[in-house]
Parts: sequence; structure tokens; C-alpha cells
Amino acid sequence: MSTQPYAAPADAGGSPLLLVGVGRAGCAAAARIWRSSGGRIRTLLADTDARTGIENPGVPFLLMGANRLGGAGAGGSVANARAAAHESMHDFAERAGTPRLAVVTAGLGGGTGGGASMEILERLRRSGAVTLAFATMPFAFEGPAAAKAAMNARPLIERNADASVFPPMDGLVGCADSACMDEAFARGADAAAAGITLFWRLLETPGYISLDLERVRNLAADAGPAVFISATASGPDRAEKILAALSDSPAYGADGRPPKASKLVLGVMGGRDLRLAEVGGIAKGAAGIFGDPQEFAMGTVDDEDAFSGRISVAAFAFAAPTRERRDSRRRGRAAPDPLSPMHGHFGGAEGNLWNGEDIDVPTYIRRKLTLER
Amino acid sequence: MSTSSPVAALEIGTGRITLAVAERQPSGRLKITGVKSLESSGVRKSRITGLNNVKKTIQAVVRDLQDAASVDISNAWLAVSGPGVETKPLKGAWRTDMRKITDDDVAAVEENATENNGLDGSSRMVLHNLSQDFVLDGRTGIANPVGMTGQQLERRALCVHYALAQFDDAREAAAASHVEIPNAAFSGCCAARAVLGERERQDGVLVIDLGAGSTSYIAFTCGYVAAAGSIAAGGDHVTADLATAFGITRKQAEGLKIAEGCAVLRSESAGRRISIPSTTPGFQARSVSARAVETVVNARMDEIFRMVQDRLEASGPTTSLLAAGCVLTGGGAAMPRVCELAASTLGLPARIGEPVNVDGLENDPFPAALAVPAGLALLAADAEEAAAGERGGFMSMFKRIFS
Repeated sequence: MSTQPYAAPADAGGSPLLLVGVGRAGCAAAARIWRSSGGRIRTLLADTDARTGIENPGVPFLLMGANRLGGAGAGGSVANARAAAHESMHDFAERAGTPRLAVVTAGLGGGTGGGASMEILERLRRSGAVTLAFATMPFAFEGPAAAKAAMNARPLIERNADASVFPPMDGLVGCADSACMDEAFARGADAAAAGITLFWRLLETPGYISLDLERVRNLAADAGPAVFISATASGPDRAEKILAALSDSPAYGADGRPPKASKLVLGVMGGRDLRLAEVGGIAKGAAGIFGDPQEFAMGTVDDEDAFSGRISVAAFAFAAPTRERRDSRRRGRAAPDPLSPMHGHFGGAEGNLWNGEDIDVPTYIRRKLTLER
Repeated sequence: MSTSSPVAALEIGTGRITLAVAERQPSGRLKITGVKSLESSGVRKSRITGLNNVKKTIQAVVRDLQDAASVDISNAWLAVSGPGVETKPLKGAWRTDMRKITDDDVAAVEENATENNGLDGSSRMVLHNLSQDFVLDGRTGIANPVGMTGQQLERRALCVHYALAQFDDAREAAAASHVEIPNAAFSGCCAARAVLGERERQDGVLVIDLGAGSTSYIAFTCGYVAAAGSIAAGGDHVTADLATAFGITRKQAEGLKIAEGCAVLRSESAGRRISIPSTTPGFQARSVSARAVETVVNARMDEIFRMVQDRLEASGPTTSLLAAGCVLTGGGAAMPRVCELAASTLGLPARIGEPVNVDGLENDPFPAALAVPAGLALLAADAEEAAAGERGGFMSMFKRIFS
């Protein structure tokens, strides 16, 4: 089933945090984070393509759907990827254990990132983990087919994750016009990995103001869509630069404006020169930028080696969950599962997705048509 | 009197398993000399999920047809559809000195296109490399560049490929009846081969085969295949929707669909009730609203056409290039007023596709439902005759199955 045995580092085995990379892009980002942490972050890569395991030696790897796909990848098919994830779900559950908080990284626009992530998120959530999906949207140059595949997968990921972030690759890279293709992808993955690494450091190595894992867990639980922004600045006006970056980030999409958040998690990382006034100014400014959220959690990391002379900030701004989402979760209604044996007449066949909808569910139900009785 | 040995065509569908035999007539036209079709079980979304059930049905179909048509069926071509079918654009390039292009140049550029298809041969099999056009020094739309002068020759084609495991399952099912499956063809190609003429392909046309488990489509522009594919939704979904909507069995829902289904909402259905007889002793018959039945059917059929439209738009051809409109085949085409719905959803004139390129189905109540086996028989006969001739067979590099 897997190309290499899962062997988490001894010091990470009992970690309540788990990082899961799904699909080629998601695994690349997760592997970068794992390497930058020196292997301390408990990480599991899951892909349908066996090459991912070979390309990331040392990182625990699960080959999904080995019987079905033979390690050749999902061929861009979301249905193949979902079926592969189902096939390997028992193995995944064994290796994932029961983390308190799980971050799932994926790249949307292909097959495995979009298709398997939703299954993995659902499984993690069922095991009691609060799940945070970090799924990058494809570059514009990847074309309308990739964009459409990503838009199809997005609502299903949103439905299965407690909180979900969908940063556009174009936004992560910035101005990619001059970058060649592989460089653009690498820069996007680097940016995503750097942001998540900052967040991780905040939880794993807190400074004077610590950010408690359970606090983050409570804030992220059932939070819904979120935006994630990270920024780094140096110089005497670095705090102002950070706030300017938070105000005007490509992560805000076409709207270009920061969303009004109901919850905000803010991490401020600096060296020994990090001043209280700077931390206070950033905290106050960030709260204002995101519309004074009802709940606000903050932490700092003091690391002279990594942040000497500069400040880095990582922020998760969670939008208020919709009433429909709250009601759905309260009733414990699981997302329709096209691969489940209980999924009506089509239980024995692979699931179908179109525009983010499971088309094995009757059309009149999905279109909310009222039938004359 | 036939002029060649009979060919057999097998379609393992979600709703029915159909076997047809055909023979070439002295006129040169192919005639379907026997067809047997039985209700299928063990197939979901055009994929075999219950091998033993499929084996039994194929055995019954083969036995009945051999008895009825007095032929020995030892091999049959297979029509495939569903999500196992995928397509991939191919592009080959070949550079020469500035001179007239020869047959060897064409062979070289076609070899270049096919050898770089990037498919994993252990899991995928090539069904068709469908010819598109040649590009010579930037000039596109060239059907045959031989004799033209240029340097840089490109070949564009569409590779239709299929899941090898699913093909093996079908072979295994047929082997129980001592029937060998030498080859397979995409159901969309089969339907188009049976129902289209050269003029329509030149004008631009879309063929949609409405099967029970899947819907296959193929679009032609300027005479060549511009897009093709298969969607895992079809008449079986309509039946399942009706069963869910009214809390009835699938058998009742299938009967309701056939008797009362309509692709559009009819004004005369307002207020009308439909009686559904009980199939279980002790339970009373019940009635449902005719408008509700049509609402369920219309929603699903409309969605299927929209999915095809989405796929087409993603592949390139727009409805403005399909001047000859849309041709509907398959059992789903028997749904009343389905052409009306297709026309309004796709924005194209729509008609039912009779298999005009074969004889022998004139007395069938709805020949369009047999377009796939009829077209498959045509493809099989063409290929076997070509293989018996001096060059090329069905598995030659580029199959000009529509010329």
C-alpha cells in the first residue's frame, strides 16, 4: 500500500498536531514544511502517484489506491482520487492516529488534491480532530479547466473541513509574469509552506505570549471559510509595513479588501529586538483591519536566530459560519458520500461530481425543486 | 447473399446487454441480420460491478442469437462508454527541407504524435487515434498534406483511451460464453458511424448517445472529431430519481419513466394523476402527480445536456460551429420531447438519429436505440476487411473511421 514505512520521529509521534499533504502540490508544500522544521512536525504525505514518495525521502508517505491506480496517479480524475482515498482510508486512519488539530495542504485544479482531500478531511473530523484545509487555487495560466476543477472541489472541501483557506497561487507568488513555469510553482509552494510554518512555530515554540493549541482548536472548530495572510518586514517602520501588507493582500481575491472576520488568530514572530509597542500596534491594527472580530487570539515567537531584525506575522481570519452550515453541523448530517454502500442505487459505482455537486443525488433535490403532491 | 463473414457487436450496457450480428451485402452495405437484447444486471454507470450476473446475461444473449440467426458467434467487438473512457489531444511534429510532403513524412509525423501519447500502457488502452488536421508551416485545417510544399509539418489528433481493467472485465464476462473480444470501440464513435453522413460531419454536428448508465458524446467540426467523451449519468439516474421522489421500487420507477416520462413540462399534465399499481401483495395502488414526474425527469435530462455542453465548451468547439445540430441516439432518445429539451438547452436544432448507414433495422420499433451496436458492427466490418486487405487495420496508427 505504501512505498515506505511510516516512521514518525520519536519526538513528534505523540504530537497533537498533524500535517497532511494531499496530492502532488499538497505533498510538496507539506514536505517543505517538514524539512524546514527539521522533521519535528508530524507529517503524512498522501498521494496516488508513487513518485511523490520517491521525491520526498524520509517524509512518511501513503500511496493511496495502489490496487486501483497502481501508483500512476489519478489522471486528473476527482472520482478516481476519491475512490483511491476510500481504498486506503483504513491505512490512513491508522497512520494519522487521533490528532487534536490537523492541517491538510492540497493544490486544487487536478485530481488527487481536490478529490482525496475531502475524504481525508472527513475522516480526520470523524476521528475528533479539528481540521484546517489549506488548498491553493491554480494559477490563471493553468487554464479554465484547472480553474473549473478547483471550483468544483472547493465546496466539498469547505463542507468537510472545519476551516478552509483557498489562497490563489497567483496571489502567493505575487507578480509571476517573469517567472518560468517550474519557478512559479516552486515559489507558490514556498510561500504556502512558509506561511504554515510560521503558524506551526507559533504553536510549537511559543514566546512570551503563548498561543494555546486548544484555544486555536476552539476558534477553528466549525469556523468555515477563512483567509490566511503572512507578511514579513524589517526596518524601523516594520510594524507599519506589516499592517500595510495585511490591509492590501492578494489573498483577498478580486474584492481586494480584507474580510470582516468573526474570529482572528494572529501570530507575531520576531527576535530579541521585538518591542512591546510593535506587538501592541500590530494586534490593534490587525483587529481593526478585520472589522474587530468577536474572538481574538494572539501569540508570539521569540527567535533571535530566525527573526533577528525583522518581524513576521501569520494571521487566520475566520468569517462567520453561515446559518446553514451551523444547522447542518448541529444535526450531525454528514455530507452525501457517493462511494458509500448506503449511497442508494449507485453505491457500488464510483461517485460523480459536477460543479461541486454529487450528481448521484437526484437533480430535483439539488435544485431544490418542489414536487407537486 | 453476404459477401464476407459475419461480424458481431456486443454492448454491455447498464440497462441492457445487446448483441448484434451483421453481414456485408452485395450492394456493399452492411445488414444487421440478428439482434438480441436482454435486461442487464451487474453493471453500474457502464462499469461491470457484478461479473457473474453479466456472464449469465451474455450467455443467454449469445445462446438466443445463435439460435435465432443460425450463426456461430466466437468473437464480438465491444462498445465501451462511461467514466472509463477518456480523451487526450495528440500533437506530432516533423521537419523536412523545403520540398513537397510525401507519404513517408505523413507516416513520420503520425508516429511522432502517437509515440508521445504519455499513456500508461499497463492501465490504459488506446481505442482510437482520431484524425484531426495537419498544420503545414502554420497553415491549419489541412486534411492531406501529401504533395503540398513546406518544411514544418504537424499532426493533430484526439486519442480516445479506456481503462484496461474494465476491458479485461468485459473480456472475462464474454469468455464464459466462449466469445472472444478482439477489440473495443468508443460508443460515441459507434453511434456517429451509424447515423451521420459526410455532409453533417463537414457542417459540424454533435451526437449524443443517451444510455442508461452513461451519456456519450462526440462533436465534429470541419469533418473531423473536435471533442468526445462520456459522462457517468444517464437514464438510470432518471429512474433512480423517480424512485427516490415517490418512494417506489426501481421496477415501478422504470415503468413510470417509460409510460409517463417526458423531457419537458407539458401544460396538459397540470392536475393529472398517474396511478402506480402495487407490486407487493397487501399494499394498495397509489397515485402521483404527472407534473411532479415530469419535473423530476426534466431536471435530470436538462442537467445531462448541460454537462455535455460544459464538456464541449471545455474542449473548444462552440455551438456556433455545429451547424448540423445535435443528433440523439440510445434508449434515452425515446423519451418524449427529448429533442425539444436538447434544442433549448444546447441551443442547437436536435433530431433523433436513425442508423441510416446500415440495413436490417427498418422494422425495429426504435432503431436509434441500436445505433451503438449498429455502428460498432460497421466499424468492425470496415476494420476486418481492411486487415484482410493489403494495409492497415483497426489498430493502425490513425484510424480514419469516419472517412
